[in-house]
Amino acid sequence: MDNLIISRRRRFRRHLQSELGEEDYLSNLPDELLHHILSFLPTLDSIRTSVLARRWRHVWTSVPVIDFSYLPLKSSIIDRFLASRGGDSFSRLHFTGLRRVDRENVVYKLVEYAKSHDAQHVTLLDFFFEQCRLSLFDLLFDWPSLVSLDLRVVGCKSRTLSKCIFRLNNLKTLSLALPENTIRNESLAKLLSGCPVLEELKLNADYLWDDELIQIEAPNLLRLTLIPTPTNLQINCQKLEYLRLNPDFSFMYLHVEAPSLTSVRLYNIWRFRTFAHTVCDVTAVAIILSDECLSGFSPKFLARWYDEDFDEWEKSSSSRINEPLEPLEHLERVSVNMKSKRIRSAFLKTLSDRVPTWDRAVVSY
Amino acid sequence: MIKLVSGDGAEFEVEEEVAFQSKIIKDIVADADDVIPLPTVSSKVLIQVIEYCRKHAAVNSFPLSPSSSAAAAASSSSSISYSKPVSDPALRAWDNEFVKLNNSSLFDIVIAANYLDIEELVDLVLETVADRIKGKQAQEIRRQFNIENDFTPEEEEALRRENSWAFQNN
Repeated sequence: MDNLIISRRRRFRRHLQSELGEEDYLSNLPDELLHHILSFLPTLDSIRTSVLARRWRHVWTSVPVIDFSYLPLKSSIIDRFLASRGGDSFSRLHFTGLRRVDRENVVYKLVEYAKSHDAQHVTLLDFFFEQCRLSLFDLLFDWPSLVSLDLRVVGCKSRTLSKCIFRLNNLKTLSLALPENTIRNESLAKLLSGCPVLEELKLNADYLWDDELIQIEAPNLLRLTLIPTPTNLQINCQKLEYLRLNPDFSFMYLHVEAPSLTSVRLYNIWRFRTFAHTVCDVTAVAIILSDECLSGFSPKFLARWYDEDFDEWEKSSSSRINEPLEPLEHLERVSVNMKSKRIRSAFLKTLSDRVPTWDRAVVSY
Repeated sequence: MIKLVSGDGAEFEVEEEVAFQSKIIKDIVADADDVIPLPTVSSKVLIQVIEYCRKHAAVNSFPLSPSSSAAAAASSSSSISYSKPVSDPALRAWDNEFVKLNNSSLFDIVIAANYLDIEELVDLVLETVADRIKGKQAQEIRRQFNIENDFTPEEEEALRRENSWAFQNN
């Protein structure tokens, strides 16, 4: 009886609303589009729509995204949450901020759920694992349907990637931050061979100080960011277009074989000569330098911008940059971001001597 | 040129690359003449959709210039994009202006875009709608979108209890 009254009232209201031109357009959208809308929202916002109206009661349960950030989630809540989810389509898991070990369980459950539903995108950020269990890596790295993975783990010292099996046949984007982990060339090679279609790689890890050569060989890689940058580095990527490095003092060897390279962001000119040598055949290069590039030079230098600092820089740079340098035949664009005008112009002058086509290069700062 | 005919009979001539922003039109044109009736789309909405397609066709048809590819490289270095291609910052700004519309116009556009299968436009509009829901209380959302609450107070209370963890403060 109640329901009848409600539905009559609703019909009457609908009638009124359409007279006034104030229809409920949102609720009239097909489920598919409502799921799409809620997939842009954090899961909490999505669940809260369940009380809007009957139409909305179950919409959230079929949203193909789970997105939790900095929530004190209990394991039992996650169990209920996952049990109430329906629908088969699940594409993305996003989880940020795990600060206590007792919540590890929550992550395993969510990751397992995502994997069993063939999710394609996984983002797990700002984890603090004191005793990171290897099985999380095992879960994540053996996941053929995965297309993008962004993993940032903090405080996970005891684990290395050497024991993992990598089966990421569809992975296109990988961002891996394991700042306390040491990566050996062997593990890296295993990882890369497990990701045959990888297009973008961002790696933040430690490398051994014993000058082991790190080799990046990935036939389909388009974009590569290695910060920190290994001391001895060899890159062999036929399709690579974008390269970002931050070489430091100890930078010793760099060999780049990347004929498609068009954009380079280099945060250090300490080894500019070595670098220029490696990119001299590239068709177009944008070298982007910032003040950061001088930070390895002398800390005093960054703090103050006195003329004696400039002189010091000029002295050192003349001994470094003015060494015999391969001409940068094809340089088209230079973007420089340096606070000091004098240093900037000195740098550009040095560069202009090396670039035969300098008249045509676009310089911005 | 392709001729699009709106539900109210108005005709719009557009270039192929503009019309082909719609996957449906692209499929139809392959084996039919080039007059395409769109009975469910009004002139007003079709004008807006064509405006969007024209802008995006112009940007997409040129190969990335060195400056825009570097800008794209810079913008995508901060976060990983999922499925969407990295877009030009200027185009993104244009998009943001384009969706400064009231709710009913947005929904008209999204229904048309969904029907015409213009994926990027559907994404753009629905993300805008999502932004208007984000972080708001149920009552605010209902008011904003004219959603009639057909729950009894008891039913609503029971629902909130069921997922109480999601209704506590963030």
